[in-house]
Amino acid sequence: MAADQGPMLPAGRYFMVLWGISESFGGMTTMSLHRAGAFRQHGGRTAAVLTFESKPSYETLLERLRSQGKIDPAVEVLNIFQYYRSAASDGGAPDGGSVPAPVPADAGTTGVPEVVFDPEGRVFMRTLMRPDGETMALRVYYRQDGTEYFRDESPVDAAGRTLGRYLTLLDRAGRPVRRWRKAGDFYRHWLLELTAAEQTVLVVDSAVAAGVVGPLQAEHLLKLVVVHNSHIAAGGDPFQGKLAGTRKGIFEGSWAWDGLVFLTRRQQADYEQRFGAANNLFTVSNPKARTAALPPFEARHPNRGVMAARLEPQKNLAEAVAIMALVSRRLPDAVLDIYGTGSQREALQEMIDDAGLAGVVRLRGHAPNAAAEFETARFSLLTSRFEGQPLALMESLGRGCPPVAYNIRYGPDDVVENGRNGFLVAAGDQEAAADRVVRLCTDDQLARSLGQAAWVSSGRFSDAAVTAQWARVVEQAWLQAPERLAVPGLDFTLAELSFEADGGFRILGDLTWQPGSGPPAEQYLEANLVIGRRTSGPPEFLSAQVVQRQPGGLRISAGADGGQLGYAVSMDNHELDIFLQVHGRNVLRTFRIGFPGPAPSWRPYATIHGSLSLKHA
Amino acid sequence: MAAGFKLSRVSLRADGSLDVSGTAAAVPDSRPAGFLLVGRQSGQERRYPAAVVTGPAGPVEISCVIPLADLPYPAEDLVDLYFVSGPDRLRVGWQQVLQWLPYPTKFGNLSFKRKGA
Repeated sequence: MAADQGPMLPAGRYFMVLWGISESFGGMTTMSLHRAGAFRQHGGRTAAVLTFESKPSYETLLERLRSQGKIDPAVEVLNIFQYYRSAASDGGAPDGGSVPAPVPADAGTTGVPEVVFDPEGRVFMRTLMRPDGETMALRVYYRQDGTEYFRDESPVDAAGRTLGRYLTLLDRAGRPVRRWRKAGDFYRHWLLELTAAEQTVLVVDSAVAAGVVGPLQAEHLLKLVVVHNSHIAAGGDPFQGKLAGTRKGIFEGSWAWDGLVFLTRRQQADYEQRFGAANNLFTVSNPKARTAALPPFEARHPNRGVMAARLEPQKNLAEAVAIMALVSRRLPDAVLDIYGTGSQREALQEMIDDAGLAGVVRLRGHAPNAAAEFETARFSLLTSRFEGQPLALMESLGRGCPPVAYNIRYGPDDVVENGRNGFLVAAGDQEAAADRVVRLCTDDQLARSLGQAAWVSSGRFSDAAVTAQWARVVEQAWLQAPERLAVPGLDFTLAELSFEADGGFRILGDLTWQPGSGPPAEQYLEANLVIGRRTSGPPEFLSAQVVQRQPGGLRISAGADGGQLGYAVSMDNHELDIFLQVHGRNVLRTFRIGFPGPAPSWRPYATIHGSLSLKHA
Repeated sequence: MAAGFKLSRVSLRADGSLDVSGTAAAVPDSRPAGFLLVGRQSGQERRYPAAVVTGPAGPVEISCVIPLADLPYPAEDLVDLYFVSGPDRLRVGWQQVLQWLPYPTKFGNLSFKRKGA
């Protein structure tokens, strides 16, 4: 932030939202904690981190993280259970309402309590489980003075039938102050209490926490959720793969967010090509620190490459071994040092030994500052099957080490310009990758120029640059917030499905939602019929007709004639799947089209000869 | 020979009915036109009368509503549809060669299969 300018980030309070912070966390938590510091240092706004896990204290963990520089010393971590443990809850029903109805008596059996202590040795939480060892019966939380402040109860009747869940906040006399029937409502109550109607930006990193924040609708809140990995399960095909289960709820309820923030432009483009565009889709890179200056080229070992990667199947390290086998034939002195640990270590070492590459590919294990190794390497390799945004690639660029990367989804082509600051090769093209490695090792001028361009290009994801991207997104999202459409319960019901003489079809159905706050959604929503190709290629979008608009509902008619149905479908596709996409402003939702009426029932079915039969399905 | 029936449209509605409509060159008066459902395995038949609208000239318009909930085929997966006019029955089908054949997936969704695939 320049001294003569105001804060880069728009006014308001800022929170990064995680479910919890484990002792050994991965890239998502790293980025969330780091972003909080960057917002303070470069954005001019203090940001705290919010968590919901049942943990008595982060004291020891934060001490370690601060000493390692992984969290800004000024960044606070606020946890819901730690918050209410210290909060004053002595005033009876806070809303002036009546005392909550009593919790039904529990007629079930429980085991021995499990007790969690705080760092001072005081009881923080007692849990009683059912005999199955998996179902929780009761969890009680205690203040430092030993009084109960929160009870989470799941009573059952004498027959073992559940009587629901009861979450109760208690005052120091043990009187119920407030009670919820869903944990999410309790978590959201805290968020509203914490933000106290002040203009607040919530940046949600965890998919579980997104389930808490998503349903929260308040004018003073701006809700942004970061898509940390591929939106497709197991990094599958962007057009045919299933949505990643952990984040499916985010995508299906994307209207509820002011922003879905992708890490790379290519991922956003893939998402839009499959599902369509909306005004709440953004791209902001992860930040990644780089060296203050370009490390000297002379310090680089001419034939040394580096990888920083977990030794896990996603990283596809057998490919790196195979590439180095090819390199080694042409350049016997070439070596590749791989930093990281993981479940595939033994298998990889065996593969390396069997290939006679023991001195060529070296598994170096965990190194606290593996990124520094890129400062003395001539090249780096990335052979992953899929990524969200590979941090190792950004670290390599930020240290002037040109990467040779498989052009996988997502990340490499967002930061590597082929032949300018590194090399991109098709995934699996070992020969091409080996060729680029040999060129970097043998051509000083090429390696020097690509290394310099790599370091220069990494300025794009410096803390300052990335915070500036966030500032633009937050500003845009606040501008759009009053225009945001709210469509809770959005659903599509098919009224009629017709097959036409020319081989086409038509649908007629009703899109409904619960009308509430915000602009009248019926004025802004439109729809497309979507012909999805089962095997390959992006879907085809055909405009649907809105035949009636009313509060909380649209009647939609759509169809495709025989020619449109098969238009430009590649021959490897043997099946087409039919969807309806609804869009408008922040709303983007795709419904699979089925058959109207009760199910199972008889469905029209075309035999191979084009005759009409009915199939029970 | 049965009067050739040309399928115009077959519609499935939310009330569980199937509406078949099309045209025929002519319909003999001797026996009312209708549609016949035949169980693929059992051969069990059920007939539904068609509504016939005859204009001053040209083809007659034919339509029929079949309440699917009433079909008596508990052990069948497939039922074939015929147009019946006079003494003959004619398999109902699309008049042109379909490249993409509609079918319900095992989850009850609408998909199309490439002919011959």
